[in-house]
Amino acid sequence: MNNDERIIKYLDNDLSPDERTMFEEELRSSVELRKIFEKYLRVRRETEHLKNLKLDQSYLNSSLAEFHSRIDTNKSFPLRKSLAYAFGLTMLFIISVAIIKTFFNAQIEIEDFTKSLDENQKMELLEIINGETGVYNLISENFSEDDLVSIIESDLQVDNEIAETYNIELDELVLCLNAEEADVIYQKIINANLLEEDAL
Amino acid sequence: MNLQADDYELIRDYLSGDEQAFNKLVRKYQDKIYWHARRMLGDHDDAHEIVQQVLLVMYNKLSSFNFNSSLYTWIYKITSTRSLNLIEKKKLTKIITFSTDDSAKYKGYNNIIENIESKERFAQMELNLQKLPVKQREVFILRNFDELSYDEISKLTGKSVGALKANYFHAFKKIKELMDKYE
Repeated sequence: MNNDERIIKYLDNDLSPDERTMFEEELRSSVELRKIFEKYLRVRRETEHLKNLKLDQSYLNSSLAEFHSRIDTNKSFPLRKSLAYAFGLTMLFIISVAIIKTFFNAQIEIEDFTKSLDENQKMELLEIINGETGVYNLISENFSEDDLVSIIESDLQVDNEIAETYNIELDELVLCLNAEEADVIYQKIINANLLEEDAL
Repeated sequence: MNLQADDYELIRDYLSGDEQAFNKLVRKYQDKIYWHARRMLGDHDDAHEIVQQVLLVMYNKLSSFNFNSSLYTWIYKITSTRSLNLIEKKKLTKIITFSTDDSAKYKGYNNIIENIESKERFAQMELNLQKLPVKQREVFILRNFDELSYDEISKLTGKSVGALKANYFHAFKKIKELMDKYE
């Protein structure tokens, strides 16, 4: 266990009694350990302070008033939901036609097409194409799970020791990626697919 | 009267037709919902919208509330799920628009914070939290700000305690590094 792990486990009351005693003894004798420990304590103090932030009372009141106003509006217009469904279906039809036209018209670039859509149309389109978990469908048959593991291990420097210690599964690692890391993988998958197509 | 019994009584009163009991529940949990969503999303407008959504769920679904669990865990579950869904939706929007703009403009709105000294400290922490991967951010917030135990977070997220601890470890370490960097 490295110093970071020991400190975090100590602050989290996750060390055994023996480990805790040893850690406290070392803390008294090691300047280096105390220095790192102090940095973690600073984070803890900061979160303790920010945990107790109070929201402005006028904002809380206005938020509650807005909620009741929304409820009243919904009660006043029971047909609104049905109209929304009707609107959604209409949009679906229009977008479906647009997609078909786009795919059969080589002159129109996909990027231009998507730029021409407003935010709601883009979301509709995306849901039609990918379903609810569309992002993960980007991983294609040309890109194996081994390739993905290789990228995660080499490019993103995932701490395998930690992952193994806590028995982390691959899908959990993938979900832990931040936007930049996900972009690295996304670009590699896209490149792999393009290379595959070029080879054909 | 303990907190849980207090909640149960308010829920029963509300279900019996007492709207004021619902307002009392809202006043009790409104800020917790806001802060959780705000820390997850890093944006006031998004957090405000999540509060409205969660209140609506409470209003409509409290009748199906299981009195064997605590209300605050139930509320955190809804808040957390709604926040994650919104993050996912924004990611999808980014992909479909081929957006490469990661300038991540700070959209913090601090006028709702009463204590002036805290505003800057909150803004810096909010920026740091947004630099964490979502799962790490979630466990860090639930542990440090919402004060949930690993067991409670595990029930709420469906993740193993081991996985949560690993995420928490990385999150804590990264926040420490970010605070060092911007000191």
